[in-house]
Amino acid sequence: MAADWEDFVSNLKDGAAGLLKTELSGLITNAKGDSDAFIKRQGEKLELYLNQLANGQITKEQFQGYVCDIRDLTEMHALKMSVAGKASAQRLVDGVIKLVINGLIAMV
Amino acid sequence: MIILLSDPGKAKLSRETVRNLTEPKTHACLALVAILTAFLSGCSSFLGLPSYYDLTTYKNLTDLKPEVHALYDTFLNDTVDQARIAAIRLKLAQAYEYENGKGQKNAETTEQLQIIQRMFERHVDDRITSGKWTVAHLNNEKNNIGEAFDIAISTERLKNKNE
Repeated sequence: MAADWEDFVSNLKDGAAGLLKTELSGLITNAKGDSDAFIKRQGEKLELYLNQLANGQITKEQFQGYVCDIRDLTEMHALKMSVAGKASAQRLVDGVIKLVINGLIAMV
Repeated sequence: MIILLSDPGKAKLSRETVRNLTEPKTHACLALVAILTAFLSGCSSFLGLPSYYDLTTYKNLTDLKPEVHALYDTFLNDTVDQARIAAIRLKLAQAYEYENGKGQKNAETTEQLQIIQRMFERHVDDRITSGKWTVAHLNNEKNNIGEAFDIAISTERLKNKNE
């Protein structure tokens, strides 16, 4: 059974609605199936917002705002990933200094 | 070294140590250690390793999140409280300045604070221009700003402690 948003998009008068529906469906399916919990959550949210838009629970402007929120959150998530990588490198450098260099000097 | 030599028992050990230090193998080892130390020190700045975990940052973020949520709750039925909005805007600006002051090593958290400010301004502007929020809209906005704070909080927790 088609989701509310799929019927909503199908009923749009624009000729590109079919293509949009297919692409949106692919985007949501891929995001929801992603191994990254963050990406998965954004896919679920996007589907929720589309259903809310289809059911008239939110306005088009509010929907646009949520899409901006998802963009901002994704940016923040990327920054977090950057810190995670750097923190790992930092642990390695600190470990080498503490254990290898200081340990080696102490033994010489 | 002088103190050690004053003790005959330790003097023997000390002479042995001196002999070891003059061996080519030891020279090579010390040179390697010196090079490694210089290299790793250089790495720290070259790789742009992040700032260490900061309890003040953690507290700023965890304090701000419920304050923003409480403000958003008022967007459902109450009139816009400009003073309350201004107070939170100021706290966000102060938190941003605190992070920015740490310099390049803290670029990610500084940028995250900027994004939170941007989201907050967008949400507040939506309330001011479009009127009272519905329950669905309130839940969505609270969820999104809450997630933004959670990402920044968990980013801080990823950082190493400076021990």
